[in-house]
Amino acid sequence: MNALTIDIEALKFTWPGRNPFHLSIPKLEIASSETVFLHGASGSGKSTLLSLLGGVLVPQQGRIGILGQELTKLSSIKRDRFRADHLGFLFQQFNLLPYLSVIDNVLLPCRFSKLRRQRALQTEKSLEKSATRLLAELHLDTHLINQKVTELSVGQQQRVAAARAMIGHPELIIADEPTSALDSDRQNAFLDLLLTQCTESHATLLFVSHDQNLASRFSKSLAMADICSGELPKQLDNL
Amino acid sequence: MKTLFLLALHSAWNRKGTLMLMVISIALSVILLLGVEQLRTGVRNGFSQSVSGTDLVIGARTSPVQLMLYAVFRLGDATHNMHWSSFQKIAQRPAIAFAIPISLGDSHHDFPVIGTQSSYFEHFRYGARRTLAFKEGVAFTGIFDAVIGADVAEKLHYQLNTSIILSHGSGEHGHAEHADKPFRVAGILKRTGTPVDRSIHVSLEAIEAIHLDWQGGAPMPGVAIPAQYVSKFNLQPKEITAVLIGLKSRSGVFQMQRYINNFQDEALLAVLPGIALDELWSIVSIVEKSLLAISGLVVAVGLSGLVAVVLAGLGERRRELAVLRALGAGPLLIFLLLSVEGILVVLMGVLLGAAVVLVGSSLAAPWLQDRFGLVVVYTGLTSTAYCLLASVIIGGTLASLIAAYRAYRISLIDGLMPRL
Repeated sequence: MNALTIDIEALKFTWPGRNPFHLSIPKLEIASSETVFLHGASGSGKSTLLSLLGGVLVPQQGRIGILGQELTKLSSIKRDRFRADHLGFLFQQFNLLPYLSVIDNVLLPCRFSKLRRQRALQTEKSLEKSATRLLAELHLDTHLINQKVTELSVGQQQRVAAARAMIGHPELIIADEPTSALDSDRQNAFLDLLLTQCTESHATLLFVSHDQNLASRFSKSLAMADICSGELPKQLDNL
Repeated sequence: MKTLFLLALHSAWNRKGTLMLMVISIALSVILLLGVEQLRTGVRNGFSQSVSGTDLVIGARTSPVQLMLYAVFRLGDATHNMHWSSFQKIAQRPAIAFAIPISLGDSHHDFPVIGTQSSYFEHFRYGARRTLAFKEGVAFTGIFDAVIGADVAEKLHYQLNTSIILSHGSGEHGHAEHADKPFRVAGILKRTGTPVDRSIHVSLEAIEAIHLDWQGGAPMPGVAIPAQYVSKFNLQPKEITAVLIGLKSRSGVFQMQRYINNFQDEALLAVLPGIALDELWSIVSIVEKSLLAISGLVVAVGLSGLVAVVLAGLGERRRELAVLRALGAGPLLIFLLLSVEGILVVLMGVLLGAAVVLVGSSLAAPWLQDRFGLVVVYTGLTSTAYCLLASVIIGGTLASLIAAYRAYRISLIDGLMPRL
């Protein structure tokens, strides 16, 4: 078994169509249980990289290994399954499905992945207990669990999203600016909780942000500008 | 699959307002479509069932459609009559099972008066070979006895033994009246849903009797024959308007038709009622078909509204779709999610519409029959209606698939980051 969680080699990606954006990463290795801060200005290809890691996009060249599995060799259905089984995603905002309760949102990954359901049941007797425990560890009042997520504050919503990313112990947590919607006090508190949880469950964390002040909290810090080679991105990737 | 339905349901419930509007708009177009179809079938059935068991309709030579119009539907006037002697000749043919003479020309409060014989009540058939039945009273026995249809009795509030006065000529008011010879209602027929309901039946002799002192469509000046003396006159009719005949064997119908069309004494026309009714219907059916086409268009508008609403809503749902993708949902699941939702909306709309039409037509059926003699089927739908519903569902499914395909494309392009 490869000890590397992320193992990228000679990756080249171009958006189809006339969009001139390129992403080229000669090498990127992230070891298991590391907490990695990835810094990049907007337009530097962060989102594209995350979609590539999630197996939603496929590079034209090179290979992406995650947990020893080469994503590029999987079919799109298997990549979706792999993502459901092994990756937890945490976005900037609007992570939650507004029509589900807090607990149903947290348990969503267990609906999509049998593996994560089994893992969640290893430590607790029921999925609900597993979710409740995780929410409690993220300092969310347990009486909120049956509420609609739209009734929660942004900070509470982000903690629910973190619980959802972590339930069933996925090996890799990918967080895309999860703190940018929070004020600085809450940012730190949230980061504490996130890092503690990742360490406890031995998950690898890839934390993407444009806020370099946060870098010191992580075991490793990378910059998009350093890992990418050749021509720099010429355009915003969000076009 | 369970996850899929659960998500689709929850997501739909979250947007129930918009979706209900979509269901209602589809239901409305289905109501229009089915309503038109139900009425169309009712009209068509009522039309083709206005006469049955009659093999040939005979009258003075004219167009088949016109002959049907006055002989069966009692609309308009005959341009020519046929001689009584011709009727007698025809009625005596061995192939004839029955011959019902009909004499038109008078009216009562816009209801046509039919001079005929008692064989009319015996042999006239409508619908599925049903005979005329009396609600009250009996067929005419005396000269001034009348048998009225259900509509006549109801509209004019007539009962047995009500005295009625016939007017000369048909249609509008202002005609001279046969006031000196009042009739007595001897029988009231049960409702048939055919022109019989609107008719007043008297004997041929009565028609003769009320015109004894008339000439050229007006009372003869200075001549008045009181009602009690009419039996002293020869009341055998000289002319009648049409004859309905039934044959002992249907196989002889073309031979009989040929015989009558080549009748020696005068120019006559024999018409097969089924064929003439079809011909008559084909004139009316243009209206019916355009109605159906219009309601088809309404359905198309409803369905394109569905596509438009779903597509417009997709913009707002991009985040939801991206979140589902991040959780491991494949683009195919996104496609299914959207299709299931669209198809459910269409199905609910169709069911709601069909239910409203069935309940509505069962509620409206007595009124429709009462008012227009329209027999609307409300216990079930016609096969055409089922075809229409199926095509709405198929159309709706295709419309949902268009929207779902768009969502599929979006989720492929967006990946995990919705491009807003």
